[in-house]
Amino acid sequence: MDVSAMALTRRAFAGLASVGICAMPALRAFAQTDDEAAYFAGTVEDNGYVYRRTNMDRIDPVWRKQLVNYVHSEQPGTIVVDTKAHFLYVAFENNTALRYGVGVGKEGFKWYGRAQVERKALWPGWTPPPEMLARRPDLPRHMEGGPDNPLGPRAMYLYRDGHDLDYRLHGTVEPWSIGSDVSSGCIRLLPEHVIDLFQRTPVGTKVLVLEHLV
Amino acid sequence: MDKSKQKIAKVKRGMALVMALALAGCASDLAPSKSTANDAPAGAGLNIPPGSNEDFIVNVGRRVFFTENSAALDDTAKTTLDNQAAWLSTYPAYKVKVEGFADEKGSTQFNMQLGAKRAEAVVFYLVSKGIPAARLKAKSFGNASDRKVKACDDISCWSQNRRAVTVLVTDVET
Repeated sequence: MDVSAMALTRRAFAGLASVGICAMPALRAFAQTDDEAAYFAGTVEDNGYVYRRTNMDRIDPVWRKQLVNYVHSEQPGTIVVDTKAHFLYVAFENNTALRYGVGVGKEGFKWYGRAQVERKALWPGWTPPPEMLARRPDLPRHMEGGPDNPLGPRAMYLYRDGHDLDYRLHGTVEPWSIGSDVSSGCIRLLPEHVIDLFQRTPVGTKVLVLEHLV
Repeated sequence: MDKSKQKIAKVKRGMALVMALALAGCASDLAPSKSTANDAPAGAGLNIPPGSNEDFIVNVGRRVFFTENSAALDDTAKTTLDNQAAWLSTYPAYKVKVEGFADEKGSTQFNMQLGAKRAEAVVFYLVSKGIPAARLKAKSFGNASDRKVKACDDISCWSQNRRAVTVLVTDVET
């Protein structure tokens, strides 16, 4: 649950715009609507916290976890993110893959290419960077991991050549946002899915974010 | 398959991927909330029979991973094994072969022993969770080249190869 090491700096990469902060929380004072309530079905205990179980019946079947035929030349275990199609794949042998639906935040579109998972966190916290605090003084200095944290129960942090790309695969508390482009965050998965992905992803796993800038 | 054939197969796969990407590109004017990919389901898709091998692979996960030169189960591995134990308790007709593997660093003999320790660690853990030892068998493949996930001089390969795989050997539909 190391959060202090979360990169607070923006880093520019050759040929790409500066990478933004990938987990701007969807902070809002909410009265949950009936529509939103229908996306949940009870709660699940996980490592000392509780998350709201997704009502999978409410999720379009296309976004549910499933084994698909997927022609690829990646080594098994590699994660492929297709931001345009809102899918994340774990490459399996024999041109198959395990596919999950994802929501893509603004920051999720700011980078593409090859990276690797170099850090993983259970119930990740979130620290707004100084420049974001300057713009948004209402933000908390630090948001502990937990059921209200927009990152959800797990996060995986992408690095390239030892540098934190500020690009993350994480959970969500807004299951209705799966399959769409959203205002904040990077690559978000349903809590059940990000936990499952976390289990299958050792540190060192390769990640390919497909090109999406046209 | 000899090397040249493998190469051709690889190139073919690569071309298919490029074509698939090109097609995906053409579909970019679709509404963003709709998928632009059109992957056919492999296996049973969303209608996986509970208790099938595919159920185990998709909904439980066969693999646990280890750190370098270690056969210790970390919390993540234990979580996967807890799920495996629960599943195996529900479907008692299956026997299991736990296959242990190592990365390509170190001698063949060392890696064979390391793979054995990893497979045994998984077997001991599953037994501790109530799976009868008679249903479980451990086997090491060390760093056998034909069983590597992928060979390369990089952590991306090492991390995938440092694993134990729980294989259902009696694929009995319930």
